[in-house]
Amino acid sequence: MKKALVIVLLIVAAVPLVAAVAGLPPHGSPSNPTYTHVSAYYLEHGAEEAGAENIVTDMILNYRGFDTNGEVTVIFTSLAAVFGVLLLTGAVARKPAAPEIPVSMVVRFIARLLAPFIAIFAVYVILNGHISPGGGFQGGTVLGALYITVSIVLGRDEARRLLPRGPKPWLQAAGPLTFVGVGLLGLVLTGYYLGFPTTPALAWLRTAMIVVIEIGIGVGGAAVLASVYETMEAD
Amino acid sequence: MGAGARPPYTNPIPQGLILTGIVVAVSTTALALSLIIRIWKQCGTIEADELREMD
Amino acid sequence: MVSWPQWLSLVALVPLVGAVTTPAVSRGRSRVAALWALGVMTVTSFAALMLILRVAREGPFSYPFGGWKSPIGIEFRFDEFSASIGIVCLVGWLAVLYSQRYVEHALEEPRIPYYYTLLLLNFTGMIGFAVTGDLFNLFVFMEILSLSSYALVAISGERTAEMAGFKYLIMGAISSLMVLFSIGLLYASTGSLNMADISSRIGDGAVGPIPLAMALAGLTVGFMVKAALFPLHIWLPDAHAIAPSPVSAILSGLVVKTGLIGILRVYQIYYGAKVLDLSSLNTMLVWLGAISIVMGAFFAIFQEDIKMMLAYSTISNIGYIVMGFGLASPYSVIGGSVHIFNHALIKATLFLAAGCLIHKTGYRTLYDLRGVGKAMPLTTAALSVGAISIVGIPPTAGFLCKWYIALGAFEAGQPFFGVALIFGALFIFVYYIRMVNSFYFRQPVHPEFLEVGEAPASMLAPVLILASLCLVMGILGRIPLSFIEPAAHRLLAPLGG
Repeated sequence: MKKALVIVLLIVAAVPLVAAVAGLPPHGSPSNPTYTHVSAYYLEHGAEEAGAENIVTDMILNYRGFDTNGEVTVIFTSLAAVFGVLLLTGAVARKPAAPEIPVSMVVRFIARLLAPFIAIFAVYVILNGHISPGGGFQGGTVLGALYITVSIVLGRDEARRLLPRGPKPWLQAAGPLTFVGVGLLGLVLTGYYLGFPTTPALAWLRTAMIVVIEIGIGVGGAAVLASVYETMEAD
Repeated sequence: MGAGARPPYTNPIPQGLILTGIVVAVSTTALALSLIIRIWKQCGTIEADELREMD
Repeated sequence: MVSWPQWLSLVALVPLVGAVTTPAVSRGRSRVAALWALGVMTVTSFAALMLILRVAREGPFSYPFGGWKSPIGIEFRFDEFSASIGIVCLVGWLAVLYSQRYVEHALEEPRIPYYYTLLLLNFTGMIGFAVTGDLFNLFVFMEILSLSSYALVAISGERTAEMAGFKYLIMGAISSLMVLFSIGLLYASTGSLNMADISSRIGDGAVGPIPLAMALAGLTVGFMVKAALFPLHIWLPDAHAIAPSPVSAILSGLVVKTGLIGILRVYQIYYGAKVLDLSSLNTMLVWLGAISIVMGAFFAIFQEDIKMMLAYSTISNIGYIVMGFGLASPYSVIGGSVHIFNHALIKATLFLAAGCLIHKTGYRTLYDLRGVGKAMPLTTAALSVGAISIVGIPPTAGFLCKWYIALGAFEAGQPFFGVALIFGALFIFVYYIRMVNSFYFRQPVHPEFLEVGEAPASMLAPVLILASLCLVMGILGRIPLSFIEPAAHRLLAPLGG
């Protein structure tokens, strides 16, 4: 009975949503405003003036870079939120005495063997984001997944060495901080926060700034993922 | 790549927006999971019906 | 002609940088974190003040990020409604100061630096939300704000707090989804994300009405959840009552208001475009506002827990503001907008004062707190000032706004709602009388707390500052009213108001 009610409710809710989507300008039509308005400008000028061949990267880091600045802050917020909810007094002192689950030798060997390749792939994805699909978020996730793999297969202590205590809080904040750093550099160079120099002579600087942001996002994202996993797993 | 010779690109804006949507969803999920961990530790259950009875 | 420094427009970035560096700077030392947060908020407040002065002198202005003109890039748009960043900074600064001693006992030690991080992120979200001119940027800041709010509700680590936080998270996530979906619809219809640009593009009439109506519905309902308007208020009483007191002050005084600012922004888009007839939406808002006023006040009467009572009173006050917007007459919109500001002052006074009582005595129900007026006279006096203000008795901050909203009701030819408003004020009067009576005129149940004395100075000072502001704003109340007036007229101009 309850389930039937839920299904009826869902159908009732779906009708206006479907109607709204059906009323949108036709997908794929050349007169669709999503193609003719703002994104047409991006596609026409992106590669020349924004610093990256990959138009998506141009859009998220240059034209609408401030959104992405907020987005990396959302990632950092989730870290602060997880710490705020999970940290306990004395939890650091209470070293994990719990025995780790034994892992088969084959798995350990494969993990050790693949780890450097995964890391190289992550770095490739981060550094290549301005040319091909990829970028800081994607590469950072791969890097974070590597940390989790190491932590599960080779043990927490092994994994912890990858994220030393000293620079850890700075690494976790790397995303927002590099963004603000590059943004302020843009303020100095062009007079606007997150402004990228538009003169052709400074094209290299434009690209360099984008790559620096990508690295910041990648490192920061990986550090946040790793720390969130570490904190959840310590429980 | 010249301005004239463009392959038919897809619209970049929705891709960026979806990326943001994913990031937001991941962040919210991380917090939700942390809360579930804490509730499980404190109440010993995460069944909504049992939690309702405890209140 | 004064030249205004460009960096001021980056006001949202100050708390952002402050927040992400707090853990690294403090390294677990809670005192350093507190001072750092206080310093960051001082700089932010200065920038906010300058920006408000600039709006007052020159009217609205924009700041394009990266130098890209508005539909191409993102812009910050400072107008009279963005001046709400002033109250965010004021209440935020005082709440940070207040937190220093409060969280010492209330929170687990390693969580304290992250508490300040979350507070600063919360302010970042609110400031960015109030000043952005881009619809998607609005969503991003809303998420920073919401995530930090969920965590701040649950941060005390009590079971009830975590349950309340989880409930808040689920409701908030649903509302975020609605807002995101609606932004998607507006983007798909217009190809733009800039609010002013969307408004002019949907005004062309090239877009079918169904997606626009659906987007309007999604945005309104989504922001209504954030604003805790009846019947979407169910998350609020638990979350606001159980959170640490400075967090309650921020959530009740400021965070719910961002939902209202969101509704105002939606109105700016749709009123300007003149594509849909919004009178039915307005009628709905007025009715929901009226029901919120009465329901909130009604439930507040039956609360024993002082913070629970204040939480229900927030629902009722949100009702006033929404009713003011819904009546869509100049008087009521001005009154509603200024009540955003005044209610923030009043509710922060009340929650912080209640926090002092709870902090010192350890009790939180009206019964247990009987006679506390003798033990903590200053705190109780501040609480009484807040109570008088929120009822809307003339010399205080609450009066002018409610008066304007009532005037607006008569102006709009709906005197019934003016009556509902007065009826609600009567209810509110009853429960605050009950509170004041219990604090001053009843024999203490727990005589031992007569010796506890006032809270430490860093907690008492914010309470007293806010309480005196409640009185001062009653006298100077015309200043914000005349400040917001041009914005209200601009908003209503397309309606011929």
